[in-house]
Amino acid sequence: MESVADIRTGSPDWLTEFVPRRGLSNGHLQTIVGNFLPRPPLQTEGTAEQVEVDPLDGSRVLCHCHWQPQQDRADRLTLILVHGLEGSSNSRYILGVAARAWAAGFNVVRMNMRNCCDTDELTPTLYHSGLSGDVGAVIDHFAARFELEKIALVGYSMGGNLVLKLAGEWGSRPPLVAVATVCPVIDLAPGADSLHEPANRMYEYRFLRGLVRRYRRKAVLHPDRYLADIQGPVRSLREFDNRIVARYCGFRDADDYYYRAAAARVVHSIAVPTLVLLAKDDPFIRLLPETRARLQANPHISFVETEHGGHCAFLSRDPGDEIHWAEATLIRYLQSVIGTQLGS
Amino acid sequence: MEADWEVEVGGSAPVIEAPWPGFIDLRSEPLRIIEIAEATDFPPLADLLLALNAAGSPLWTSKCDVWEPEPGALGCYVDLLPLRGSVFPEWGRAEAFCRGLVERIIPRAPAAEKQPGRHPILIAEDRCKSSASIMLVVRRAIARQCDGFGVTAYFSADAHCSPDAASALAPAMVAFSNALASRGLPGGTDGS
Repeated sequence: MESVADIRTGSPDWLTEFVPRRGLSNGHLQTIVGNFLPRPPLQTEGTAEQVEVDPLDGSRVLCHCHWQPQQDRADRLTLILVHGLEGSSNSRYILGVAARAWAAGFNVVRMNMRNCCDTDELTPTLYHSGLSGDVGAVIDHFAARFELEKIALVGYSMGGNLVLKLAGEWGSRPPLVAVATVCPVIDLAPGADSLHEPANRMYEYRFLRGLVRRYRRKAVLHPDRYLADIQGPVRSLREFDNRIVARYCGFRDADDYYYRAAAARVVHSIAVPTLVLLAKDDPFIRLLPETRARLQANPHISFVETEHGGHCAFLSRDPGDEIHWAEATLIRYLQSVIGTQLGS
Repeated sequence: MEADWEVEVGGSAPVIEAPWPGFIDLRSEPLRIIEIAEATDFPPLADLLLALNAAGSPLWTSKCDVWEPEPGALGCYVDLLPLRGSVFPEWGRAEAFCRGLVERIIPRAPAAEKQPGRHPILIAEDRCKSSASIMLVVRRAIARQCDGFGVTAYFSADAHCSPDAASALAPAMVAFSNALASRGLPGGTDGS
């Protein structure tokens, strides 16, 4: 298969060839167009529910849930979807996966990280890449409440790091049965540094504007906890992590944060079927050689790396809604893992 | 980053016309961005055009271009029109739009942050006054059989505070689309 490398078992049934849409062989264009392209509407209303993720400070996250009928709920696969940096449960790729998962007969939980989706009041803390425990708390909460038998995690970008980190920390622990990630930021330090490359400044600037604005809101809500002013401008994501995230989230500095929060440290311990989907022309995901070796050495991980696709885009030549190749691929992967074609 | 606005109407001043032969409606067909060479050659322009024509945006766009005014510098323009009504019916509404947008792009520091010894949290490019600028120009516009006013947004940058002009221009374009993203048209008008 020309555009898919590193699949250990040749070409599994769930994996189709990715051929980029005509004119979209450039990683930046894939990333940009993918970010704006609408998805089919989600054919279910859903309910919003706050889940406590830290009983010590009462931190909660907001989840948008779409449950199958009660008689089917417990034994259907439940997908918990985790967005990327400065995204939310309403990010287009999350809505796209949710629509497909719902159509496939899965329960769907669109989880927000702390503060995201305008939930700054639900926690006194900032959010960062090390909070895999929040995802675990959401699993435990819904598993206990509905006696869910099978839960899978889906993570994009920063959310991919969170779910891979949790999977590595948990190993084999029911009801977690599978993980699927798209462009996970597994190595945080090179990822942050790549955002400061000249060609990536528009992405870094957008992230920084959002993060700084969020920090300002936090400082207004909790003036006893956060300084309203810091000395000098923030020049990069690494500088934000160094001066804000490390200071207020218990890390020594940015490098300490990047090391401790990276899924790269634990991917060798992942013990459930896991998909890692990356594009070689992703503008800012950088995978260290040793991390790549760990991923490829783990028999539970299906490592798929395409030539094109950009960051979380993967716009293919396929017609209609099938243009969103990554979203279709990860649903097929999860269907393959659970060995059934629910709802089809 | 600097931002300002002005009016150029009458005489030999350019007129915004839309749609024009070769016009691509990105609002209904965003994938056709690949047919706009200026955007495919300069991805930050693709990002801006798709943002301005996205669902929820109060604007649509007509012509655009990217050029090098001098070595080490980069310029770009995009013609903007209000979605409702196709044009601003009075130049005062276009002026209000420009005035409001400039204030959003370069917000005044809150009073607390003006106190001696206090420093607002800024992103570096915000302080680099000469690296990038945005100029909004109110022009006469004829769009969809309506005669009124539109706005041409000019972006320019040099490599003064950045590795190259393109990486200085890109944040200005992001700041511009962000300023429009959340609260509809500045100036309290929908253009109709």
